Amino acid sequence: MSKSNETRYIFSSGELFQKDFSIVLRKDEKNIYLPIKDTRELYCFNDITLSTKMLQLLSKAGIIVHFFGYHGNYIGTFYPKEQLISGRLTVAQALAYKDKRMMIAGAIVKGIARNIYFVLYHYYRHGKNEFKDYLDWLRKDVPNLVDKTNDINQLLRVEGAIWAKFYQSFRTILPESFAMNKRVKRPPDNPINALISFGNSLLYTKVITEIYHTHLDQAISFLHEPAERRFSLSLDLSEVFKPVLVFKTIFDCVNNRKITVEKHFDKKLNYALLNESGRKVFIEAFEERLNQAFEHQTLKRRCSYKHAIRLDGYKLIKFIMEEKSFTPFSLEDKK
Amino acid sequence: MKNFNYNYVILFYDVGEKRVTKVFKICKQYLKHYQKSVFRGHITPGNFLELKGKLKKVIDPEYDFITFIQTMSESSFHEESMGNTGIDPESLII
Amino acid sequence: MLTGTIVNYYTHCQRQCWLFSHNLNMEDNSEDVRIGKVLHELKKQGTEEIALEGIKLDKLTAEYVTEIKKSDADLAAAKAQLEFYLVTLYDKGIIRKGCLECLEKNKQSKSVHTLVMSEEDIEERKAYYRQIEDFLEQEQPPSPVFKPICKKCAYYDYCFI
Repeated sequence: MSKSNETRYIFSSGELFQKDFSIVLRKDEKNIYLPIKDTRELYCFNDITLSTKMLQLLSKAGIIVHFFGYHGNYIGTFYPKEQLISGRLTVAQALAYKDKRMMIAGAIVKGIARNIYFVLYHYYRHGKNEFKDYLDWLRKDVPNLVDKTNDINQLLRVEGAIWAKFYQSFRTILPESFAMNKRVKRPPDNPINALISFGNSLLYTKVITEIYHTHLDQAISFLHEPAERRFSLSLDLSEVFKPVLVFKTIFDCVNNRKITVEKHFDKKLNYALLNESGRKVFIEAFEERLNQAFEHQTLKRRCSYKHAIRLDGYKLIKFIMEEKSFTPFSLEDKK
Repeated sequence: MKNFNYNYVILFYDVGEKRVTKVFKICKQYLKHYQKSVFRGHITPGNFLELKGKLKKVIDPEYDFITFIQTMSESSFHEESMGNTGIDPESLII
Repeated sequence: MLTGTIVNYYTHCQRQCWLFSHNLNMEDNSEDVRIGKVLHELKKQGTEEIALEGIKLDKLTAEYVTEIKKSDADLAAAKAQLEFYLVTLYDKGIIRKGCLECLEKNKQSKSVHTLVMSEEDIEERKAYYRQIEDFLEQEQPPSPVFKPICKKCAYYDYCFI
């Protein structure tokens, strides 16, 4: 992988400002220059001061900035002026919410089941026989359940059941210190919930950035209610990538002891939050996975997982504009 | 256009005092400042052309001298260093 | 309203033409397009681009309209674009010859091509432009048909995903 610093994670506090049409981070009386032409996305994890002039330059260059709070909680995104807008698509996307919502939402739920199946099948093949029932259910029953329903709330219940059963499987996959009884979101109450929350937030921001580079409207979503959040389409397109990018990273970090409860969580907070070094380890592993390349089976060319997110955006556009069937990314089929 | 796969460049410059700041300012937009008169970093072929075009406009070809070494990526050369570099300008996390 | 680029794309690839003119532009994805733009900038340094109602000309002299292209890869499309400029100017009472400069010549032996249009040519082109306008009214773009040149196109990922 070429060391392109299109993405930078800023953990130090300081000031970001514009100088000579480029970006400078002032940290401890020292200037670090971030070349504007090799920057696509910035993450701020600490106290960062920004000026309007800086934001102007970032906006013009189409650079997105994601802000996280001191405890790693997602705060928000500086979203530069839209450069890609197609009125025709925006109208069609809104109409698709009205007429084809269940088709798109259903495809996403099936996609989640497919990718979880593929991730867990690996453990099943290595002797975790207790997954058999769940795997059968994912492969055979979920597609039927999805096809039979034409009510969004019923579909969301299927989705909820998929995740709930998936979380139960953690007891078998992960060491006891990371086992989890229940998924608790805000705020997370134990190490595994903390990892999931952090990973999902990171993925959410990655998808925002990829959708920015398409013509899709970030607010019109299908599985989630539109404008549930400002970027609710990102919630939709994130779903099938959670097993692929977030959970595979978590399993790798925990099972290979890159992240441990003692070293990487905040003891004072009952280990319910990743500490700074924990976040850094996770980010490095997550970025490596995002940039990993595979041979894309439809396009017949090398493609990174990050790019696969963008391609799912294209698939959605093609479904909306050209009635081509929409099947989100499948880890098994590599397409 | 033949060298389409080059995505990394190391740039050395020796320019007259009057033009140093100009050259420095241009390089800063594209590459990371690595050593006193050395920049380096990932750069796309299009940006590389643009960088060269901008530099050509400000230097005096009689007195100034700029060298570019292009490689496929930062992993296609071996590097050793000594002493303290301070902050690594190329790291993912800063 | 038609533009030079739309006419160029229509000759080059109708699907690309439809997508582009409905603002589903993908040029940002392509390093080739980026290189083309930079070369364009470098080449015309110092000279002002001339913008007239919907057309942007690289160079306009007493005798010629000049269009600069990165390469001669699709000469027919580049010529169609230049012809469109000549026709638009003709309608404003500005009669010029066309000059096409290709920075790299890979397919043709010469890098500069001159174009002269007769009145019949102009009428014929106008009928062609109406045909393009009708085409753009279609609800959907034509389906992609794979050709080897598609691999280098900025629209490849979108067309073939």
